[in-house]
Formats: sequence, C-alpha cells, structure tokens
Amino acid sequence: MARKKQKKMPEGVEMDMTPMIDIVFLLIVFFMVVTELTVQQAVVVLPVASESRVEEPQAGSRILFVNVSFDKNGKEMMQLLNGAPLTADRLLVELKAEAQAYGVWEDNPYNPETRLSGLEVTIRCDQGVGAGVIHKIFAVCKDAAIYKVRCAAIGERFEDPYSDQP
Amino acid sequence: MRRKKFNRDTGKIEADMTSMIDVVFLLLIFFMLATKFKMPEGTLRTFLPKNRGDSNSRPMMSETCRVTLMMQGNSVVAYADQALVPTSGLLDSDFEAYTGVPGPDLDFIQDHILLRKNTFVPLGDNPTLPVVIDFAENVPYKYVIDVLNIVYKLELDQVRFAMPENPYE
Repeated sequence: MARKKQKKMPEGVEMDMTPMIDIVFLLIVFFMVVTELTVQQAVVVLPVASESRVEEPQAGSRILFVNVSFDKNGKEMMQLLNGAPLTADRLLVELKAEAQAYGVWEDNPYNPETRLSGLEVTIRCDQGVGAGVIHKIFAVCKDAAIYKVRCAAIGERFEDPYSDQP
Repeated sequence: MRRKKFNRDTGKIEADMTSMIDVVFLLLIFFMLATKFKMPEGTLRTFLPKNRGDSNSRPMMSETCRVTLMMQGNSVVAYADQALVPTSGLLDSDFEAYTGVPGPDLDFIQDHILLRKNTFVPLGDNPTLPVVIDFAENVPYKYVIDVLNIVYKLELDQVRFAMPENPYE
C-alpha cells in the first residue's frame, strides 16, 4: 500500500506557540479560581422558588448555614455547614456560642429587657425532608435570640437532581 | 539534561517548551473535568417576629388566611382556610416525578389567597393580609416553600408559621 508522503515544513519555519500558551494559561487560571476543591456545604437538593432572591451579604454581616439533609441511611440530619450531625439542643448551644462570638446585638423595640443578635441564619433544607425540622430550627433560633432567618431555594433547576438515584 | 538548544540558523538560544506544554495541558484537562459550576442560591426571607415574647403560640385576633398542609398516606392534603385543595393531576416537579405522588394544586391555593387578599380590609397593625402556614411535621419541606413562594408572589409580606406546643420534640 502506498503511503502518503509526509509534507515537510520548510527548514527554519517554526510555529509560534506563544498565543496558544497564553490562552492555555488563562484557561488554567480560570478553572483554578472557579473550582471548589473542598466541599464547604452539605449536598442538599434545594426546593425551587421563583421568588427567591440572591442577596449579597452586607459588609460586616455574618451568615451561618444550617444544612438539613439525609445521611447515608436516609435519616434526616442537621449540620452547621458540613460539620457533624447535630441535635436541636446541640444546635442551640452552637448558635448561642456563635451569637456571643459575633458580638453584634440589636435592641428589641418590643422588649427592652432583651437583645437580639445581628447574626443571620440561612436554612438549606433538602426538599424531601419532613418540614417539622423547620419548627425545630425556628425554635432554636428564637431561643438563641436570632431573628434574621432565611430559607434557601433556587430560582430554577436545569437538571434532574434524582437522575443518579434508583 | 538538555534544557536549552542552540539554533544554528538563527543563532538564538531557545527553551524546549514541549514538556511544559504537556504539563499545562494535563492541568487544563484536570481542572476542566473537576470543575462543577455552582448554581446561584437565593433565599426566601422568613424573619422571626421580634414581638412574640416567650410565647410560641399567641392567639391572633385579626383576620388571617390559613393554609394547612398535612399527610394522608403518601399524599399531601392541603386546605386553604376551610376549602380542601384538589390534588394536582400532574407530577409537576422533579420531586413529584421522583416520588410518583402528585401534590396539591398550587394554582388553587394561589387563587384562594389572591381572593382573600383582594377582599381584605386593612386593620390595625396588619396593612396586608397575614398568611399562616400550618404544616404537619412529616410534610415534605418542598410544599412549605411552595406555599411561601405563592405568598411572596402575591406581594404579601406577613407570613407566620403555626408552631407546635413543643417544637423541640
């Protein structure tokens, strides 16, 4: 079988690799910046709510994330970020400690004897979890003098979150 | 180890870029495969009332609209005030498609709250219709957020959650 004759480049002609290397480095830097190598939040299938708003945190504010999801055995569990599973009582202790550490307090116009923490709590709860856990978290936040509570949701979902489940 | 080569034609010293490009491409492929773009997460504001004191369940005297969610078997049964909300004939969401159980008709709930909103007479410290969401503890969280979403869609900002006697249990 006749083989194709390889075209020979004229001697002394070289490809300039500089622009390609520039672009490749640019891509690497981009992917390095956007990649989250450490998991900072528990994996939660958030509910969809068209009215949910992405709010930029104000300067100096502190937001704590309480995640509610399922463990490996399908049991509901509460966590701060992706920490150890917590009971409601333990969550209360943790939130009180966080509120103390944050140290920002607001006067309560309805009850001058009490103060309210400036700490914010965002509940990231799996859409399949029993909603009773919300009662618990609200009660814990109330007892920890935290009133700024938000429920996380996504505006729109583009992929089926259960596609990899039987 | 050969690091630089001398080009006899041009008389310049050139670095061999091949190995660097190999590594750079390897890194590029790694980051391309490892990257997972994060969907922006929003929030629905559910600030707790400041004026409730120590009482979890203070009776409310003013007019309210109450949406009740409870479980019957695998299905969620909803009431908008006293009206039973019909079950949606479709598996509207990914959650319902996953469980295979349709939820309550959210349009019915929305129409009912809208009707109550339009006939609401502002009274005292309630300029807009207060909506109470009362749900059983085993109702999937999704449906609570669905109702909350409807309330915010109708621009009602007074939302209250009915609390059980002992929420810690």
